Amino acid sequence: MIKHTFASSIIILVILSTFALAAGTSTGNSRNASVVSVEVDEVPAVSVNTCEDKADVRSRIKCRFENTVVAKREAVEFVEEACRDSQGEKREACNQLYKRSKACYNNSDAIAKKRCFLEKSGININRGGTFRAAPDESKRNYVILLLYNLQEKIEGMQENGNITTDQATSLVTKIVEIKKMILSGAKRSEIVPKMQEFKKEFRLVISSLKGDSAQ
Amino acid sequence: MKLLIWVIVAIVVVGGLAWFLSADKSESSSQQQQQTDNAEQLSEDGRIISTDEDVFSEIDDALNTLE
Repeated sequence: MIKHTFASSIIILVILSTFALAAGTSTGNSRNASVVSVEVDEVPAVSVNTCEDKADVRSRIKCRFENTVVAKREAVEFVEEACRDSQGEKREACNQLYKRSKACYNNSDAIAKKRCFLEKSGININRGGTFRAAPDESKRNYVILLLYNLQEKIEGMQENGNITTDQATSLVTKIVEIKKMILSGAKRSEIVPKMQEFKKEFRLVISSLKGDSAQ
Repeated sequence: MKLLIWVIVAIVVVGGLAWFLSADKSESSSQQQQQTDNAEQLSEDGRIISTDEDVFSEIDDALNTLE
């Protein structure tokens, strides 16, 4: 009897340890776990209920950086900053572009992310056509999504304390201005200088970041 | 007799788990192959945008194609 009980215990132990091994090596929920930790780290807003009462874009963007809870709520309730100058169908199309591209930003794989951006912009890469031959509107959409990707990165760096709120505000304001120009149908010759200006500032901020980490 | 039943149960459970884990690995390698295929396909259309400078180059190229 004792012999049997001992043998049974050993077998149960082996079975349970295989379950523990399987659970330990599973990565299925690792992404959700990191999301939870980010939510815990959030800094609650201090007595600010809205950023929409600010008159200009820069002030609204700065307010959202300083009040993340308000920013998250207003991102759902209000139209994206870049879409606000557009009217009617164009405004709705702009808003829809942001909504349908949301899934792309969670993609950690660079190839899949690019594919997602192209598809959501309206460029069907599986049809064998070249990017150059795609409609102008789709190409403009693609640039907007790439800029939004940079905006998300800047927001992340600010949230992690890698860059200051003022640096992030300045960069995101420039991105919003460029996106507005693209959406309004501005010519390439008007967009490129603004883009150069943004790149210069972005590189400066990133290089100062690297300099700090080297010290 | 009881011990024999336990041993059979253990073999079935451990064998099942081993099969499940090997199937998972095989699926993962199939996904890697799919990603490699995508990379080859996309490299014909343009660069892979993994760094900020890649994104800038991609934006510049896209802007250059605007009418």
